[in-house]
Order: sequence, then structure tokens, then C-alpha cells
Amino acid sequence: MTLLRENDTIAAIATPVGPGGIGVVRVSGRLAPNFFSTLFHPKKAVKNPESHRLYYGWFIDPETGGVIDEVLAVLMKAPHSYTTEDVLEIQCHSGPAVINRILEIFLSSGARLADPGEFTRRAFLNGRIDLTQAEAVAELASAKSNSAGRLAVSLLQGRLSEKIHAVRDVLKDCLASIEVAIDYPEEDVEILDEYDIKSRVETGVITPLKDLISQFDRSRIFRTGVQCLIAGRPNVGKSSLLNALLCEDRAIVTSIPGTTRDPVEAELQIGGILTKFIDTAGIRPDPDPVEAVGIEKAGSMFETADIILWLIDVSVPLGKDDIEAGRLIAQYGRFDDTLLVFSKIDVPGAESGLEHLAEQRAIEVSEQFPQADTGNPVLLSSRTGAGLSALEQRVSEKIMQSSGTEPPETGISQRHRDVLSRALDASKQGLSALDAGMSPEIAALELRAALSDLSEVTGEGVTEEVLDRLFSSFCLGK
Amino acid sequence: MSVYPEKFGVMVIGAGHAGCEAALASARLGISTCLLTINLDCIAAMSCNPAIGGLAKGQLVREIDALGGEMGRNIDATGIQFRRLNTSKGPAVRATRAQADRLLYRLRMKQVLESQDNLQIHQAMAAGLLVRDGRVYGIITTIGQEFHAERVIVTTGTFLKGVIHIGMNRFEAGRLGDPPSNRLSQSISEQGFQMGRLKTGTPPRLDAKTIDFSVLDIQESDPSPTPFSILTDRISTPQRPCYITYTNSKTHRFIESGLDRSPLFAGVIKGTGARYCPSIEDKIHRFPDRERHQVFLEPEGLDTVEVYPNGISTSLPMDIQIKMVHSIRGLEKAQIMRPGYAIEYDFSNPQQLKPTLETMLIKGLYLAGQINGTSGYEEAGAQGLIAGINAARSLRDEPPLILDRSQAYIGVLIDDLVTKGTKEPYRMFTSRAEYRLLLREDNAHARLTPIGREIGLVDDASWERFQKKQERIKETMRMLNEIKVTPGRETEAWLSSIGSTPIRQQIPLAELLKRPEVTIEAASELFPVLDEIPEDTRCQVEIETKYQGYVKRQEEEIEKFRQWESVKLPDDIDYSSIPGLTREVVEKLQRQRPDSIGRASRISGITPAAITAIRIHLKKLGIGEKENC
Repeated sequence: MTLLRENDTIAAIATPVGPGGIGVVRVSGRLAPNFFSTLFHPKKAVKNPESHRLYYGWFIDPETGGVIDEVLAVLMKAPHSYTTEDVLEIQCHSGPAVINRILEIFLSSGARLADPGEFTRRAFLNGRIDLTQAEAVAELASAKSNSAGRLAVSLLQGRLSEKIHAVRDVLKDCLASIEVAIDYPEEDVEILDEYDIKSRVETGVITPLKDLISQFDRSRIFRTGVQCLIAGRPNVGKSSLLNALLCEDRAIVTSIPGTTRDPVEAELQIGGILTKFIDTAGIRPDPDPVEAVGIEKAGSMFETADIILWLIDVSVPLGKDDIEAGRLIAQYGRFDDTLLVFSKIDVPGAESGLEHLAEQRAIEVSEQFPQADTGNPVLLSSRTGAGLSALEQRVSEKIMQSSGTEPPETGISQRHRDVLSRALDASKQGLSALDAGMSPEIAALELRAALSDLSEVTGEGVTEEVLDRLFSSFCLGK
Repeated sequence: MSVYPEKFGVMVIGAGHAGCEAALASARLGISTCLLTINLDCIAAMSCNPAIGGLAKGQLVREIDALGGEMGRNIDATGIQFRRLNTSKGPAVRATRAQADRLLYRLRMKQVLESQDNLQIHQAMAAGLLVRDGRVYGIITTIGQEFHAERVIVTTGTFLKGVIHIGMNRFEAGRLGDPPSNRLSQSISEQGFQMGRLKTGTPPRLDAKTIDFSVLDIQESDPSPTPFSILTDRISTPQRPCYITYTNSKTHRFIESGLDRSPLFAGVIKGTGARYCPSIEDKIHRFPDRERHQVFLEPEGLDTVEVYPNGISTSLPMDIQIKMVHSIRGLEKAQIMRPGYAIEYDFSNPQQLKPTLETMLIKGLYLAGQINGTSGYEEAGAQGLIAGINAARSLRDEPPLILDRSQAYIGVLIDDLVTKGTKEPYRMFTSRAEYRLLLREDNAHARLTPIGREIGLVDDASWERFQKKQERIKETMRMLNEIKVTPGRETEAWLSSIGSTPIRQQIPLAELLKRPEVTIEAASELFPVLDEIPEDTRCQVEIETKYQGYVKRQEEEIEKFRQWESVKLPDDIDYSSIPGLTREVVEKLQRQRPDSIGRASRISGITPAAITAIRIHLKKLGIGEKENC
């Protein structure tokens, strides 16, 4: 683990950089009050700034004396701040030029760029927040969409801790009974018998832990979003669809340009879930060596994507290349997660006989791939935008189908999942030790292991590996 | 004022179970030792129940024996009922409990002390510690005599400002019939020690001649008991049975009728009692639905009629005690020979101790036993032994003996005391030990005798027997691997008789023993040669075969645990200079001065974040710690 230089003043941009919003630059450490008085010029002169009060004014370049930006500044004095140190936050325009300049000025005035997660690490080290909370903050900071934000908030409020405490209670009850039987063999006391213990572990430990784990598996979708692969033969309109989505949807998060052979991606919010659309490279038989790389990549995506959009030109009969694309879907067994999209419904002549054409294509597809769902294909024109919202609707339905309709109430991270599944394994081992008629101290050993595993979620009995993984998963500046 | 002419290396105050072990250990290590007792006739007195051992406590007795202490030998020589507990459970939670002949127990211990070289015994009552420049140099008695010593071990049990309660009557006493030690307690707290008040209790003693045993369930001794000590071949004392009876609704009504005169319920008793050892009135109050409570009638000795009714500890007034006893089956005419009573006494917060049991406030001063907030003879004896060893070793400029939680129940006991302190009388339980599977009675000697030998407390006879025992275990393992079990009618019949399934091919017996239902004992039916294996050996071999996976797992855990124990915290570390520590944490650490990161992490209120901050600080100072931990 890295050495903490806790006497330093640290600074970082606390919000995503991009046009059109408000950005925050945060500073923590003893230089923060100093920066407030030297780098910030309030509209009305302030002698002793009040803690937690928002001041309006200008951020000044100390070298030129010129104004960098119109800003709001707030000073949060120790120990009543996030890190429990003096903290200064500057709210400015979030354009990269402005926000980076403000950060640079802090850095040239004596602050150091914060390590990833360092604000939270300081908050944790100073006893301001516990481990579960620290981790939730990491997730909140990196959560990219609204649903994920909600998830992170519920974790902060300790929903997960609550559930885990309930499980720990049951474990403690069962252990107490086992321990009494061991340490007081001659005492005439009423304890849970083996049958009770088994059924309580089953219902009060194993079932809730399984639930929490499956919630995690669902909550992954809310936190990291889903991947939606756009597949189909070359020139079927894949990149047109991507572009149409980019133009249509204003909730674009990123757009990554690529070469023709690399997938081109777009992230949008669909039904509150971050959805990444990926365009595949052309898929044809007998690829030349250069293309083979792209195809291989596309192949792995057929395996990992959450949803596949199979684009078929509605205006022409199914060709060899179309069938090849279908074969890939079949090869990876992904027809259940595939949406059939008939593109180019705007081509001349198609409009009048569209229904007929669609029916034709559907028949051709089901002849080749009986497992494909041809019942309700999306009819789409990337050029006119017709069918785009229907497509989003269908994608959203598909996501919900696989994730359940509501975001799970307790958000858990990968670390939590590991811990929970370790605890689950130990509990199961405990049960089977009882079933096998082993001496009760063996079951106790397992249940105790489960208990101590669960303690890790709330920060008790924290091991170094946990801390390391936790702090390295933090994004810059909280 | 007079000063005793001889100056001692070690002075032990109190000749109870802690004091005896402390004095013997010190003297046996060649240090001139003086043991002070209020009454020479009460050395090693069993103030409460006349029994040694039991779950976790039996392990402690074995550990004391393995290190060269006396308790195991003493009970082996004077025990009148030996029973092995939890025999239906695994070896890790089996333990031995023995009823002692109270009189014989203390007489034998007195003889051992009297015949010990380097040891003087004096009857006197300590009145104060003699301290100069933060270092103890002796004690002064109530008759103004000074004894000077390099090290002083205080083992005063329940005697510090002891107050006995029977009904609304209260009087000062260290034990019924013995005076309390008031001035010493005063002297200790004047040195700046934080003191607290605890409470314990004991039942009335009954006259066996007036008990109708014929209507009661009998509990016999085990036919061939396993001794505690490695030096004992077999138990040769005559054995006596115990009897079992129960309280009933009538008993409970009598008790309720007397609660208004109970010092416990009237709020007269301020000291904290142990939840695991409640008085009968407390049991009835807290568990009103229970229709009856079990009472064991334990003989107090071979040549006495006194009987200890285990389970009805009480401080109710005498008229209620009599009615209560008479309401119990078999006790209708029982005469109370000594009343039951509660006793309150001072203890010193054990968080003021180093793991050597030396106090942090005063150099050379050690505390052991009930004065540290524990209860039980075995807990006391274990502490006395460690205090005696460490006082002696410090005089010989040798490093202290500190056992850790993975080595011994003694390690668990002392670590719990010095890191966590205690709010109620502390008793050992097997569940307090994280590495329970490895801390067993059967392997206590394997764990600790080599250490005891190195220290110089294990005599040649014990060492020889120990080595033989280890050899026997190896041989047994070899034998179990050599014995082959062959499929066949006889084997099948035997396997099915013990609820097991047939085997398909010939396998070594060691392999077959991995099945939970197959024990060496059961296998001796097929292979009579196995009958020869002593129980201890059997346990060790069995656990090594049957629980191999678990044993290995615990060993791995211990390795991790030791990593943290090995990161030592310097004595002079200034916690207030470590950024990120809250004031509360700084205060705790400054006060308790844990000797390792591991121990610091077990102090309550020391958060993982605080530990991280300390480690970062240590790294900055360039102290200790390797990169990988």
C-alpha cells in the first residue's frame, strides 16, 4: 500500500470534465483556507470566511492577476468536512480549459494532485466514515447514471449493513447454542437442537446470502450498465444506426471513434440504465488476414454482450453474409438475447410493401434459424429516425427481462460479493458438517468463519488486501 | 518498624491458586522466593466448589502441567472423582473435570511448597507496597514488618476489601471465616491503579448424613480416568460419586418470598457478578419460565460429610436458605453446615498490565489471579505461573515468556485480559479460543512442554515421559497405517454395526478413520491391539486423521495471525504524534501500550483505520514491518 503523506494539501477535479455544466475542484489540507483568501476574490470583501457558506466571486490567476472564471467558493473548516481537514471547493464552469487551469493554479500554489480515492481514504483514516460507506462513495463517484446513483445512496444509508447484521444475528444465535452445548455439557439448559440450527442457518443465513448475491448479479447492470452489440453483414446500416442513436439521444455519455475494423461505441441512457452500443467490424466469410483480427474481436463480443441487435436489410432477400452473421449468434447461443432489427425501411419502394417485405425476411430468417424470435422485429430507418424510439423501448424491455424491473434495494460491490459468497460457502460447509455428523466444534468453526467474513463488509476485522483493493478502485478525487 | 533480614528475589502476596504457582515457579527457577499468607492453614484453599478442570479449564490445567506447574499433579493426587466431558464430541472440546478432596488438596500443596528449595513461607498480612522511583522494592505488613524483594507478585484473590453478604447482613471478610485485606487495596489504588468491584457467590454446604441419596440420580467417576499430569501414571485416590437433584416450583416460591431481603435485588451489592455463574435467585428472576434447575451434590472430601450443592449459589437470608434447601428432593432434612454467601471484592483493571503480567505503572510489580478480574482456580493458577516465570526471568535478564493466542489457552486468557479488560469475573471458555481445534487437552504437552523445558521448569522425569509420549504417537500413526482393513463379512458386519458403509478394497485403518463414524475405540473391536493405545494418544492421532483439513486450515490462519503479532510496537511510541488518530484512540493506546500491531488491533475501539494510521507512521519511522504484511 502506498504511503500516506497526510500533511500535504491535495487537490483534484471532483466532477466529470465536459462542456455545458458545473465543475467542482476540491482541495483538502491545511493550505485550503490560505487558497480561499489568496486565489479567490469575493464580490463583497470577506475578512474571516464562515465555514460552510457559499461565496460568490472570481477565481484569480496569481501570476497575471487576471480572472480565470466566475465561481462559487465554499470553505469547510476542520473537522466538519468530508476529510475532517480544512476543505475548499470551487464551483466553476466545467469546460476543460477552465477547470484544468484552476487545478493547475492550486498545484502550482503548493497543493499536490490527489491520488485516486485519496479524499475518501483520508475520510476513512480520520474515522469520518466506515468501510462500507467509503466503498459506496467510490461507487457513487463512478456511477454514471441515475439508477446507479440511487443504488449507491441506499448503500450509504446502510441498507446492506442492515441486512448483513440480520444474518450475523442468526449466525450468532446458532453459534451461541453450539457453544453452550460445548462449554456446558452438563448443564440442563434449553438450546437450539441440531435440527433448529440447521433450519435457521438455511433460512436465516444461506437464503438471504444467496438473495444478496443474486441482487449483486442484477445490480451490476445498474452500476456498470449493459453492452448492446450491433451485428449484421457489412453495409447493413450498423454505423448509420449508431450515428442515429448518437444524434437522437441527448443523454450521450461518451462517443469513442474507431477505425472501420474496430468496434465503434456509444453510451446512452435507456430507461435509466447505461447502455453501451457497440458496432462490430464487418462479418464476412473468408476474411483476409487484416480483417481476421477485427472478426476475432467481434466474436468475443458475441459472447459477452448483454444484448445483440441483428440488423437485416429489409429491402433485399437474406444473403450469404446475413446468414453468416446469424450463424455467429447461433454459435454463441445468444438468440435468446437477440433483437431482430429490419433496417432501411426508407429505401424507395419499401414503404408501400413494408409489411410484406418484413414478413418475407422473417420467414427467411426462421427457415435458417428456427430458434430466432421473428415475431416482432423492430422496423428501423436510421436516416429518418423512424423506429428509433421503438428500438430503445425494446432494448429497455430486454434489459429489464434479464435484470428484474426494479433496481435492487441494496447495492453491493464486487468485494461485497466475494465476501458474501465466501460466507455462503462457509455456512454451507457448516451445514454439511452437521449433516455428516461431525463434532459440533467443526460446524462452529465454519459458522464463525462466515461471521468473520461478514464483518469485513462493515469494516470490522479488515485485512490489508481489502484496504488495498478498496482504495485502488477509487476514481480520482473521490 | 523492622526489616526482615533476608532480601528476596521474588515476593508473592497470597497463597491461593495463583500464589502457589507463582512462588513455586520462581523458586524452581532458582530465585530466592518468599510466599506470604494470612493463614498458613489456608494455603491453596478451594473457597468455592471443590473441583478442578472442566471445559477450557481442563485445558488450562494441562497447560500448567506442561509448563512445569503444580496444579495438575496436585489434583491427580487428591481428586476423588474424575470425569471426561464431551466424550461424544470431538477431541478439541473434550475436557477432564475432577472433584477434589478439599482438605487433601491444600495439605498436599502446602507440603510441596514446604519442601521446595529457595522458598520461604510466612504468615503475615500485607498492608502496603513499598515503592521508590516507580519501582517496587517490597511490602510492609500490618504489624509493621518490611519484607524487601526485587519483584513482588500480588495474588490476593477475593481478599481486597472483601465484604460478605448474607441476607441484609454484611461484614468484612476475605472468605467466610478469614479476614479481608483492606490496607493493601488502599495502598495499590494509591499507586494510581484503576480499581473496580466484582462479586461472586457460593452455595450453602450441606451435611451428607442428612441427605437422602437413595432417591437421587447418581453420577459415578469414569472407570479409568486420565490424569492431568504427565507425571501421574494413574489415579489412585478412592473415587466418590456425585448426585443430581433439582429445584422445583416450591423452591422457587420460597426464593421469591425472600427477594426483598436479597442484597442482590435490594441493590446492596454494587459489584458486578458473572453472567455465567448466577446465583439461584438470579436464575429464577431471569428465567421465570424454567420449572426446575439442576443441582449437583458434590462430596467435599473423603473424610468429611460436607457436601457442595453446585447450582444453588445464594446470598439470601438464612431462613430462606433453609427453606429453599428443604424444598429440594433428597434434601428435605438436609442440615446447612455453612451458609451460602455473596462476596464483593476489589480488582485492578487488567488493562494496566503488560502481557508479562507486570504492571505498567510500577516496575517489578506483577498481578495475577482474581485481582485481575478473573474467576476460577485454573485461570488463577495459569496467571500465577506466568507471573512467577516472568518475575524470575526478568531477574535473570532473560526475555519474558509471552504465549500467544495460537499457542495456549493461557495466551488467550492473558491477551483477553490485557487488551480487552473485563467487566465481570472472567472465565475461560473454549469458544474464546480462535484456534480451538489446535488447543486441546491431549496436545497440551506437545504444545508447551518444550517451552517449559527451555525455561527450566520441566524436570527430567517429566521431560523423559514427554518424549516417550511423542514417540508413542508416532508409533501409533505408523501402526494405523500398517493395519489394513480387508473387505469381508466380518468387516462389513462391524462397519454396519457402527453405522458405516462397506469398503470395496483393502485400505489402511488410518484411511478408514477419516470417516466421522469410525473411531479408534470402535475399531478396537476388530483390532484388539488398539485397546492398548492411551486416550491422549488416541485423541491426537484421531484428530490428525479425521480433522486433517480443518487442522491445516487453522494452522494457515495462525500463520496470518502471527504476521501481525510479529509487527512490534516500540515502547516509547508517541501516539499523540500520529496523524489521523482520534483523541480517544490516542488515550487508549498511550494507556495500554500494546506490544504489537496484532494486540493493538484487538483493543476495543481501535479501528482498522487507526491501525492503518499507526502502520503508516511506523513505516515513516522506518520501523519493523516487512512489505508483505
